[in-house]
Amino acid sequence: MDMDDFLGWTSSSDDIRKHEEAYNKELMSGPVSSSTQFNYACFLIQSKYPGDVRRGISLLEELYQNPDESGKRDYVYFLAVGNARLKDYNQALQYINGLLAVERSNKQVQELKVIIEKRMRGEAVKGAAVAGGVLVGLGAIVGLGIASQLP
Amino acid sequence: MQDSECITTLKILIVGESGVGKSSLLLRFTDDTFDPEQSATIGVDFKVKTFTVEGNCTKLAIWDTAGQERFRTLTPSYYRGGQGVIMVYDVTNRHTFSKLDMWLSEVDTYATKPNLVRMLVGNKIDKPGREVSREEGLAFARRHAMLFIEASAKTQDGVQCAFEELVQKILQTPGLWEVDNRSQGGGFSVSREDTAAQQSSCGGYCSLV
Repeated sequence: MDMDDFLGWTSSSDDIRKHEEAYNKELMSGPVSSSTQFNYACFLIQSKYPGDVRRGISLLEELYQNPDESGKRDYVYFLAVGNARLKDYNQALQYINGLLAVERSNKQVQELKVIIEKRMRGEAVKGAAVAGGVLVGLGAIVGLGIASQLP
Repeated sequence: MQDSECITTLKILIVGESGVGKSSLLLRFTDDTFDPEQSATIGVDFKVKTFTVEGNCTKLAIWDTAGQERFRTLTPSYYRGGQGVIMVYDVTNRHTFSKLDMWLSEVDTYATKPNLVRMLVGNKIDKPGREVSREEGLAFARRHAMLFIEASAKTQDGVQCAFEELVQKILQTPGLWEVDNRSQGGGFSVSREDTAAQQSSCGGYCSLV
């Protein structure tokens, strides 16, 4: 198990399938209950496949837009998790900051924010390393070119 | 201590009714703080802490599950592979104690390791208006072969001890854990039970059942 935080955890395909079946069963017989949709969405956003994560996000967005819903904080939290797992960190932080505006002292939310910001910095470093690698590579090619021109 | 020096990574679950203080116990253990206004956990929370018991460094991956009813079908998926479970009730709320049977069967159903170590924690002993006696808690734990301790996340009584006893017991259970590949093999030792009793900082506080 190589993971240091909640974003690194992935749901198993068995879990996703189980909740998908429950969701589809309800869908066939009428409107899906919000808890069934929420559970299914939660496992989708923890999937290792980005397509599943995106589907989970849209199911959560659908729940969030329902005016009667009492579980909005849950939806917003998992929307942040889903977006962060897709590396859309700015969107994730928007959700997190929205939650913190209401629950400033919520430790769980504060910690997710720290994790997201850490990952953001990690990506930036990785990006810089890749760019640096390209430069080194270019330098080597130019160097070779110069060398080959030498007598 | 560096992670690489730890002998193993252990997965610990915290379960129990809503409001019994699961997150508060965890927060006291990991950050040594207490928030009287602790918000209800959303779905599940996760923390990693390196913890040394009798010279053995372990990395604990602790899953703090939401107790609220609406997360009831969500949380069991996180039980898989758990090597230890901390089952919490509130000593000032009998209802949370009577729901323990349900939590036990839930853990038995979803946790995949048959020999996982279970610890029962009666929380909030600092609060007046106790509804569940220590004897009742102990009897329940005995009946189900669980470790038992009473604790207060607020005053920190018993919190460290709960985790210490649990980790100790896991390490003493053959086949329940594996040595991390990352650690340099051979450089560690797992203490035996007899030395464990002498060295435990918990003294006579914990009841090992």
